[in-house]
Amino acid sequence: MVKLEDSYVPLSQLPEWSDVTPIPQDDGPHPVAPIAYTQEYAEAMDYLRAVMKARELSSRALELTEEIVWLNAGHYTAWAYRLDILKHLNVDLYSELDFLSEFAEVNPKTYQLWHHRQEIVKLLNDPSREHDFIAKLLATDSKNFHAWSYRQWVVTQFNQWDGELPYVAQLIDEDVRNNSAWNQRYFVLTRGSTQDLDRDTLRREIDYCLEKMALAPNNECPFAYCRGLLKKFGTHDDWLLIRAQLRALGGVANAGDVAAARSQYAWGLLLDTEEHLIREATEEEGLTARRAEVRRVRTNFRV
Amino acid sequence: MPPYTPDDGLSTSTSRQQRVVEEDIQQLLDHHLAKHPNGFEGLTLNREAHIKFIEKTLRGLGSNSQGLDPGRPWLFYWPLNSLALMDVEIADDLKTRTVATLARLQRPEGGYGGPDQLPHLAATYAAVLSLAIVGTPEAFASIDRMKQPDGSFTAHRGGEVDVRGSYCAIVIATLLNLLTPELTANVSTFIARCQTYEGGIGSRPNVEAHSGYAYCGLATLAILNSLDVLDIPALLHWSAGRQMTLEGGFNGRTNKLVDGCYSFWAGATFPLLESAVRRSWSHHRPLDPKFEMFLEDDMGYLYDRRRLQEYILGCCQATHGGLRDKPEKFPDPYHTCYVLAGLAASQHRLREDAAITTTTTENSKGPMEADSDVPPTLADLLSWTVDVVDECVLGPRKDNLLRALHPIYAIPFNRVTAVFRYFYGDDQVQACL
Repeated sequence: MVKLEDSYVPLSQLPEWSDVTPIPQDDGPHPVAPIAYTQEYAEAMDYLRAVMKARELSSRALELTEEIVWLNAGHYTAWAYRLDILKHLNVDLYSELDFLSEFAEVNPKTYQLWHHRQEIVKLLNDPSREHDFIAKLLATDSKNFHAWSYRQWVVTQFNQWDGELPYVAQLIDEDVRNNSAWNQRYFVLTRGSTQDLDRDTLRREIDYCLEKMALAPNNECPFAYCRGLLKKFGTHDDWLLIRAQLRALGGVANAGDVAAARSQYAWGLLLDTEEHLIREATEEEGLTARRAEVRRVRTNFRV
Repeated sequence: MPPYTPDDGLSTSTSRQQRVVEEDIQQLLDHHLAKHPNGFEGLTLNREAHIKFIEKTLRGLGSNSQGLDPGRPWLFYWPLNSLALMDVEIADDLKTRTVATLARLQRPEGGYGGPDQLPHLAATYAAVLSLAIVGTPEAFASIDRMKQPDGSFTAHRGGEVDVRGSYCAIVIATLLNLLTPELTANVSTFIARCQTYEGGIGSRPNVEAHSGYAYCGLATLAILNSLDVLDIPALLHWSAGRQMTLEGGFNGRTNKLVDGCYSFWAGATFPLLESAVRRSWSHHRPLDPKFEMFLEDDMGYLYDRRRLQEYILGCCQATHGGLRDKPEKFPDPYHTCYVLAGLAASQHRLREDAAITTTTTENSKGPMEADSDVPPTLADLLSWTVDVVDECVLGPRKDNLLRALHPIYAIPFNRVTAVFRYFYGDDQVQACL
């Protein structure tokens, strides 16, 4: 393991590198926007050029890639080369997972880290450490885009749907405004947009939304989630239900002065609900009356 | 000023972070209001300082920018685009050196990458746009068109797949006249699958909607004449929600913090959305009555341009030059470029020419029938026009007005036309104008 705090010993002074002639970077005579690299990085890159040119898939080259990604986390070429070496050397890939876990603590938002981890887990065909690995990072940043995206891959690839809903519910309990968790909830319930919701599940989700809406009416998440579910899976009765509930929620219809009445999200969803019902309506059901209702809601919405 | 976002008596991590930023911005905006007799009309773009900041990065960057080494071509695009938007003449010497330095980042196997690194789609996108801004025959001739990336749209060999890759690949191929049916096949189907229940677009199917990916997806579909694969009203709803009530700037995802760079990623989606709505209008489909108001409005777009400009001019300018994410942050080349790009996009009325739109809609596809994507015609690609509407420019025009930005290629309009002339032929372009 390369320790950054160790005093820097140039590779050129190490006997194990004595047979390699480093290849310096050639930016040309008057480059635009050159970067003043640290000596450590510049030298490591000179050696990387040399070993890559020779297609050397060795353990010292593996160590070199590790040094480079510690110095420059987004170095996609070093990551890709590292993967080639790992495949070739047949080393213990679980130790690679350990390295990646440590690396992720410092660089949780590097694209390459996540992609590399995915490739390693594919090779191992073992997701057993992934749940904890991701959960630990989400505990630090509960909206880490890469972590959630990767989590979806793990869940889908290894059919780990069980347990995901309680986990997501827990994160929503911790911060009801965590939209990444809400997005994951939709992902879990629809099994990655491959599955319909049965009636009971849909009603349960609507109730869940209503509870969270009441908790913090100016939080967009449950309104967007509810709208998404209804548009995809809702029946006429479901839309009627949500209309009634939204009106009840803090007396929206009467524009009372409670928090819910000031919620632009409550008004927005109510407006969409009325518009949906209009599109469904026939003349017998009183289309004209419905239109008047939409005008009324929209006027309130603008105010 | 609007009140702080209410936390409904329930404090969470999200609401606490949001409140800190709102107080910061409120304080800064109040300060500007107190200082300027004309209120926000007194806000000006500090061009000289920004130009100095950019020129400094072109001379060289410190080791703290080492992390940008793999994305080196971006270090040309960000500053050159910033200069072009501010209408700064790019010196001949800088043009020549840019062509020469980028030539060294071009890979024998095709595309561009960091020094001696694998070719990468995003790096290639940045390199091609940089050369388009330079705009000389030498710059265009330096691009080896025969060796562009294939249609797989991983970011690089063995790399990750996402909507960003689709956007970069399609933009590169469009500018260089390399679009083929093989390259465009299924692109729009993939993007349509990335639209989430919220209406926005994520990096991959089922991933949370994000302004950066929404822009990439929408711009790609706009090139391919396939906007109708999306639920446009839902996307419009979500996009409008990205503008923050108090801050005036945009965030990238629901319940995240404002960031100046989304002035572009989120802001530039609006001309594309407007185009999508117009297309559906000319399709004689039932038009959602919500849209009528915004199509008739001279300001256009479903966001508040002036409030965005208050945020950009009032909160994103660093005292000593350069533009930034939010007041507490330092400026950098990335934010300088995209905050200026967002400012430029908000100052102009950008729209697709109606005549062209009518001809294309005759051939256009129904919803979700896009597997047979065909490359667009040159006439389609040249169909964007620009107006300056006075009310769209906050503050003095002579200080603040930037060059019009193309909403798809993210460089000034005049540079885009020059690229098309070179790669499609003067005559062909002339015939379409």
